[in-house]
Amino acid sequence: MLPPSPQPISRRVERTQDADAAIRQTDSDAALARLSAVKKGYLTDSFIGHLVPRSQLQLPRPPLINVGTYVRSYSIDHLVEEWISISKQEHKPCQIVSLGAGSDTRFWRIATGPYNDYLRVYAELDFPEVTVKKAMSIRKSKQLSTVLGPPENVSLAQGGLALHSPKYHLLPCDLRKPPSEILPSLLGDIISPSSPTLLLFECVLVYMSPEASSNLIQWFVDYFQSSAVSPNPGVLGAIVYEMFGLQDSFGQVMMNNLRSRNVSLIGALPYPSVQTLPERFTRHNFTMSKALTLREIREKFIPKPELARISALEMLDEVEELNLVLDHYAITWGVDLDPTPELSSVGWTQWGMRTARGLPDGHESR
Amino acid sequence: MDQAFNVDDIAPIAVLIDELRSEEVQLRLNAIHSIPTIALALGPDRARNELIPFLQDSVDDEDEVLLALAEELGRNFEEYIGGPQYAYVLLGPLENLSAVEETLVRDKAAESIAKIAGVLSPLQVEEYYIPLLKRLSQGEWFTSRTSSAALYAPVYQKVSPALQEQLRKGFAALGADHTPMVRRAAARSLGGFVKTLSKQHVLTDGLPIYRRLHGDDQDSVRLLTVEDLITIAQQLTPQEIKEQLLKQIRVTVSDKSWRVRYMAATHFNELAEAVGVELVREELIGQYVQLLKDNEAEVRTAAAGQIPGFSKLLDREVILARIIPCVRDLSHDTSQHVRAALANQISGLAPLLGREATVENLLPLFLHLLKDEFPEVRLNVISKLQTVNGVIDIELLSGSLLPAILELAEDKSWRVRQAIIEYIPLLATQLGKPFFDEQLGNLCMSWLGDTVFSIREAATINLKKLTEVFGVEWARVAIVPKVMGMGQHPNYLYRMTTVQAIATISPSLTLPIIQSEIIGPLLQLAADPIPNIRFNVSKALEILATTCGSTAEGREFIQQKVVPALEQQKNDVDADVRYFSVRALQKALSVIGMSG
Amino acid sequence: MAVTLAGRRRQIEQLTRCNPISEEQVKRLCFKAREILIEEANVQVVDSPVTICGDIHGQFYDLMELFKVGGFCPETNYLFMGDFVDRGFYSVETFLLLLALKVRYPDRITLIRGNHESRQITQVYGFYDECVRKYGSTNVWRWCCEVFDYLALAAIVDGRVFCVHGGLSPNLQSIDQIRAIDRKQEVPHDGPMCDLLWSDPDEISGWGISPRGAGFLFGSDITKKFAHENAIDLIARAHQLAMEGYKLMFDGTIVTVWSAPNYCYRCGNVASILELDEHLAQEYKVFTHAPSDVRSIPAKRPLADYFL
Repeated sequence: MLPPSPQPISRRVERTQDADAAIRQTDSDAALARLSAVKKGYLTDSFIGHLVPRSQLQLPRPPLINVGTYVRSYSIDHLVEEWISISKQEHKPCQIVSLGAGSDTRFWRIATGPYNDYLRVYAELDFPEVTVKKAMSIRKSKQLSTVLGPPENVSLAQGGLALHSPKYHLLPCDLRKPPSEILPSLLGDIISPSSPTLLLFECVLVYMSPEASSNLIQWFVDYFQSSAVSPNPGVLGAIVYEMFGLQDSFGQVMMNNLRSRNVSLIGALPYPSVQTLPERFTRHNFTMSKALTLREIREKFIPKPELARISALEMLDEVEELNLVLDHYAITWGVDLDPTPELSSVGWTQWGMRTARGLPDGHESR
Repeated sequence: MDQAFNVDDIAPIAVLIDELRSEEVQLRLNAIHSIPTIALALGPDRARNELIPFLQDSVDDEDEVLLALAEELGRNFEEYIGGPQYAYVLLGPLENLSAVEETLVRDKAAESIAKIAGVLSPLQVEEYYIPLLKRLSQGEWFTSRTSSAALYAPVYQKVSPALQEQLRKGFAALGADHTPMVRRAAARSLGGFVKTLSKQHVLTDGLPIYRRLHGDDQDSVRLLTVEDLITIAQQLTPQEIKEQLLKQIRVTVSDKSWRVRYMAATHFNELAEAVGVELVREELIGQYVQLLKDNEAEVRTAAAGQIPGFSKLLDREVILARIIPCVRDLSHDTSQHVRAALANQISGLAPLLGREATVENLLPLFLHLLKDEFPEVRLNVISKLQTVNGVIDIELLSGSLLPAILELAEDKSWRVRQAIIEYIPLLATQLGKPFFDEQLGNLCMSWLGDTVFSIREAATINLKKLTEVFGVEWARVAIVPKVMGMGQHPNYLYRMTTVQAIATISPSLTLPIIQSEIIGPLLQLAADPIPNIRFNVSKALEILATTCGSTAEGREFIQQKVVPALEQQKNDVDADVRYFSVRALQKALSVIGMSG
Repeated sequence: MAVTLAGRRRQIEQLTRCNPISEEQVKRLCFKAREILIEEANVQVVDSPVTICGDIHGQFYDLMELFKVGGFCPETNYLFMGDFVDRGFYSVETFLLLLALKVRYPDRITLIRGNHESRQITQVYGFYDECVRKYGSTNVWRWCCEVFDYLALAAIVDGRVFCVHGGLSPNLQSIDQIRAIDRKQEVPHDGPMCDLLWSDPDEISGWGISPRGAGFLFGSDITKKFAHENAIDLIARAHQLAMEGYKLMFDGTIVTVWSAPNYCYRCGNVASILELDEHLAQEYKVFTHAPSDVRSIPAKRPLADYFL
């Protein structure tokens, strides 16, 4: 197969303008995809429209993208809800830290739903360019800002780059920098080392070097280590959603296509197969770590009535292509329990996806 | 008489408002692009007093539409509203557009504002432009501050020294803004701004702003300062560069972010030219070698792209001692992109090195790259070999490269095979007949039987070119029998090659050869069972008629051989055969003067 | 109003450069195409030699690549098994070029209908939007859809190779039954005409439910029975992405030919065409996507979609 010819000049000039603009653009893509899935009836989300400029004018995305967005959302929603309900059983309100959160609406959905009381803190981290726009959108939208609490409890900081409210915090940073330089000052006053804490990484680590993502995860592992200051640390959980297995021809095309948009998927290199994905957490000595491809989730975990409902929304005419694409995205989740047995209650170890018949499943590392 | 088109009656603005409500973006875009027409219809006064305020207050649309508006307002729109003395009126809507979220719209709005600055009087600049620039520079959201950076340079030289000082301070504030987006905008516009400063202010104001941005903690800011560095260096003497910028050059080339180094690598030749030959030889050669050896493939790729350009600034000995060892390493690079970039540039070194050094140093690398596993690398070498032809003898080049070329002639990728075929006539010219016949003759014929149509086609064109190189007699012996032999192939697509080769080569052959070698087998193919062959025979006969018609013998040949065959073909069962044979017959008859 | 043959040739040349023709020209071309297609049978009889192609899906530059490998029409005879439009960036140019070739050389090129040659599907998968974007109205889309209704449903080469876009139908045992369908309509949601355009072969026995929501899955037994009873050597069909360009199944009784390389600029697959020579010998020519150059992907259009 012939490789693509060198990038045209215009692209090169573009990349010199602002090297990370392309990565930030991926968030707009994701937000538009979510908006499209909502408009077409795959998902319910009354908030996303307030985070996409001129949302009423946006055209819907192709059915394959809508279906994939649905499966992605279904899986992560499922794991997050399960996490909060375990927190509820354990009587420990949890914290969620969403890294590279972009235009995600998850906080608003949780805060207006039945799990709000078991959520202690929700922090979102992203590039300042992203947080400033999100802060602007929140300020402009009554529906978004009322969820945060009374106006006097909501404040902008760092010249509009950051936003704080009783539960929700929007924090600007570059996650590729050494975590010890950025995270203590950003999160130190916000998250508590003794609450159960869930990290969300939706399409973010894949744009970072494996070393940088490893450092990031390790910082949180260390933060939730028992110490003199924090004798009873909270359980740490994490969910990663992103592409993997890019060594085949589909993956090579994806790398090349995204490369021409100046996006480099360097974070996917260590994960050629779904079996290798749990290593992301096991190498940090997590107690449990599992992974499932979106294809597996669509085929085995989404309840049949739901599948029937979404297949009636739009004619999806090509299954081969859908499977090919969904085979290259996966959800990986893991939990790091304190070695002390009384804290390692059964609840956390059972955290995972459930099949339609209620059976847990997932690829474990080795 | 056409009362329906009375402009007063159709209320142009109402039409515009209506069109801007359309569901289709394309129609709204068309509406925006029609505002010059609407302004013309309104006349300058109403355009100024009604249209512009409407555009300023009422247009909130998709980015594409806003972008179109920003563009239209910058296309000498003042001509429609009363001339340059009213151009300032356009600043209103453009100020709004320069604060929207979409970068492309803001950039376009700023570009249009800058254009308008060109037609404002100094008084208008002070009265309308400077206050706008202040509002944007101190705007609450980063969007307007970002847009302001590009608006300093267009007016700096138009205002009083007191205002100039304010502008320098204003720009410096953007360079120290707390949001990285604004600092990036400042870094992007700094070069243009520095160009408008006096030498003294370059040193007192430009340099400090540059140093601040160059030391930014965000690499996305730092990388934009590479171009500023070049612009500033262009304003300074070599001595001043040495004192003021050398440290920054070193820091940039070894920045911890590869993106910054990548920028330095892509702009290295410009930088080298800006600092002058002396500093290049003392200092920059070391930096350049460092970039060629960078850890990141992207950086090496960019640096490899600069090899011949940078080497032009060096002595031959220095190229040999410093650049060639790096080139050797790059030809074994683990990244195919690096090797492809090198393959594209390496031949540019040959003229700089001269014959002997090229043979000794570059030839082995050509050979190596011709065997690269990635087709793009091989293609890049082949397509640039001509540069080398001028430097070393063809025998030497082909003698050492021929084995590799023979191998590529059977490459899996048909585009590589095609690149080789296109190189053959040049090789033939320089190798001469005996050597060619021995080494490449069979190869050229074997392409006629390639599985890919484009290669079979290229092969026939190649045969025509070779006929022009080696002459008709050579073609009669070396080419024609083999071409005609293919006419027996069991697959019609290969028989087609024979017919098409005849059509291609015949104009380069002579009548006796056509009569003795070509027409017989061609007329046999006129009765081929496959209609596609038959109507291509018609087409070939048309070409023969055109080619042979200039002599009496030729016209007799047409009369005796071509016309009867076509007469028969025009009654074929297949419609396409009938069409092409009738067309050819008309041509043939007109050539021999039997039809008007 | 008549367009000369020279005019048709210029139209083909213009479309070959990927330049759309005017709306008025499209109208006339579609009108002329309907006149030709209405004369064709539901199962169009085709003579060998012929080169059989699968889905193209608006990948215009890859269609040019196909012609570079297989030869251009009319020198090479072609049979395209549908799905000319949707998904790619150049459905308009792709379909109009094929149609212009059909009108100029009706005996040299055969077009049969794919499941995407439908009003409903083109409104979801891009052809409709592309027409509106390129012509500013829905006229071109409507005229093209009218042509779709006239396309043959299948073809048979020398009475021995049966060509159809999707596959077989439980309601059709013989090729003659296909000839009885009234094809001049929008593709129905079910029934034999729908099945021909939607079904897929699968490693099952008998018939199965299709995950596509239309058509059926059919197994080896069904395929061999159909081939035997209709004295067919081979069923050639398209409709399903084949990563290697083509896929033979059921001991070579059926083949999927896929002619859109790097499908949707995303899938990383190679494509193929099937050359049947005058003795019906099969040769599969595999080819890759056109080298990316600036023109092949319009600057303002988003590139291939991913979840990012």
